[in-house]
Amino acid sequence: MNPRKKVDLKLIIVGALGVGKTSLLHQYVHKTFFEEYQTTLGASILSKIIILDDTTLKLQIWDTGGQERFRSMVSTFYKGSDGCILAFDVTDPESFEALDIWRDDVLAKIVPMEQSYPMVVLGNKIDLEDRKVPQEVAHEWCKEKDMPYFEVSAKNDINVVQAFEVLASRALLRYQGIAENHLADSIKLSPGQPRSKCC
Amino acid sequence: VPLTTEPPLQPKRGFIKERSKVNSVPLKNKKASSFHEFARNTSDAWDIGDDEEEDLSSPSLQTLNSKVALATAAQVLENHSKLRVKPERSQSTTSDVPANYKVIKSSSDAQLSRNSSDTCLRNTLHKQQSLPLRPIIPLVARISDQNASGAPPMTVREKTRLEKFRQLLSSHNTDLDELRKWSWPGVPREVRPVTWRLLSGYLPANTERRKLTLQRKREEYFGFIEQYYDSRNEEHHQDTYRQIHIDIPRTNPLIPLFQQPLVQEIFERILFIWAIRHPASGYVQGINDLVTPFFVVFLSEYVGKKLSDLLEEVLRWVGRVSYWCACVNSGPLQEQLSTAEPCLQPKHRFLNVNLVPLSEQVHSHFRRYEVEYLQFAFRWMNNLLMRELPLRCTIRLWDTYQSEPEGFSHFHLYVCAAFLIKWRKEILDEEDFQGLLMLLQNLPTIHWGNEEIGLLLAEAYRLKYMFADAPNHYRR
Repeated sequence: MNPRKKVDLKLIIVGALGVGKTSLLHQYVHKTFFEEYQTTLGASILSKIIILDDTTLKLQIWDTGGQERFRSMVSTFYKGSDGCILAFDVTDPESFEALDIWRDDVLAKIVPMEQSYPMVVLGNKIDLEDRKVPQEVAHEWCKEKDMPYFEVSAKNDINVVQAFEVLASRALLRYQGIAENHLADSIKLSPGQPRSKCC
Repeated sequence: VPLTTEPPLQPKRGFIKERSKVNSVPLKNKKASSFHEFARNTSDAWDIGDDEEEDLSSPSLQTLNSKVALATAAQVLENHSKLRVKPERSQSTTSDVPANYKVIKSSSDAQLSRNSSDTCLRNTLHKQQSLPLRPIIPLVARISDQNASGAPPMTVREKTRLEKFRQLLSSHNTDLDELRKWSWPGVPREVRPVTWRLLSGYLPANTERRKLTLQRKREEYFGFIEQYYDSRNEEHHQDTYRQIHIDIPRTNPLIPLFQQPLVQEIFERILFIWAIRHPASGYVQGINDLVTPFFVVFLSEYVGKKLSDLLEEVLRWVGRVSYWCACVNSGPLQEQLSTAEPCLQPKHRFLNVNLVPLSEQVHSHFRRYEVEYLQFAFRWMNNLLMRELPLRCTIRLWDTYQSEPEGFSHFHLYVCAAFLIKWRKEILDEEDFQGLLMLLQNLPTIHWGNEEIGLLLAEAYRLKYMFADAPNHYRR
């Protein structure tokens, strides 16, 4: 039997303050949820190992502080990342409107700058009643930008794993693409990768 | 000095009102009928924060708030037990994976398996580090403190120290230099509030001037409230107010006292006024944590005293004082906080430059694994190590910071350097970037108390003098 391939991937999560970035990560990594976490100052590291297809992925995930003033500091963590989660709070329209800025910021900082950089969008807190951002609006925006969109709840563990796995698989694809390009540019990616379904 | 009345806390308006729904428990239930009851209900704050040992089954846990405390404690215990079984669970989720591949475990587990010879307790502690338990630490520490020490009687030395403090404090004109000298190695809990007020300059050393000063400061504070606090609904303050409002419930999320609506209102007020009075920095995330030690220390003054005043009044006064002290002390703090990056950069350079003579080994270890100081020390600088230490340790640390010239700004750098060196062995044991960062962002300090802080401060003091003799290492 061939030893399973092992790949290290670095993922980041960004978005406005209070949208639940830390909660989402802890739900994904530790399967736990608390109503309140202390504010994230700068960036915190988490890690998880998963198996995707025939590859062992060691995910290094960076949780980031959402306050605007930290953005330039936080952006030093984008470098070398393989994928990004853009998070907003469906009860907070401003956090949705801020996605454009967060997205541009990430795209501007990753090296090399490229359009194929994997990103997924998470609309969090769908368990709350006072939703303000309609699902269609968020969907439309993501479609326009060609990013998968997930309606999630860190609290009730809805769609969280799915969203992370889609990002991880896309990041892996991109990683393999880069690796293969380095080896020989004649090798093509297999088209049969499962497409992610949203919501 | 009689307590003056302050403008009533106003109900929130607009969209903010909706946001607050989640946390607001009807005030009626919360309003204790006497201070005594209030004191009992809130005794958790300084028990956790200070070196006190409070039995979990004490009468303070019979009331509404105690339910929160019990629930929290239960949650902690439950999490602990979950953690213990986690390895099995992780494996069972991967039953479709060939048995010879065990790497599926989360990395925290993987880390653990390396130390498999360690005791179960050690494992549990280790796991906590990688889990979202940072906010629970005070409670965990409290439980462990009980196990470790019980309620130790005062030693002769402690009694002598307390006597000395009482003597200094009761004199007509407190000798501040002498007070600083005695406070440096730690202020006895009994006299901490008044000592902090004197050290921070909130109270004048001359007892006769105190009354007048207090009067003036209160009037000033009311002025600020009138002038600024009502402006929270103004358009250009909306963003500040909103951010503070989001951060309030998650300040000390697991200490029940801080979940009370009234306490949250006071914190909100302190932070809002602070933010608009310091436009250069505005509200910076993290400063909400920095108010906590002041708040807890001053609140402790009211324990066990029979006050007929309503809890609201008491709390407001406490809020007022901690607001003042936070202002005074945050002069240097503000410098650190005013912009996240440009201002912090030199502070990081401090570690970067000075670690070489301190420990070339650690420094080159970091280089080898591409660890940058910013990746872990940002929080150390921004939040004065508050996120790395239990609250009781922060309070003890601040005894010294207030007795040391430029304690919060300059001396803190040496403390950070000493803190880093303290983990030298653990750092060198980690042999990849991820392991290093996981360690550095989750240093196992939950059992720390006065003794560890004392050693840390002594080392920092030594470093300070070492660098003073070789100033080229560090130019301010």
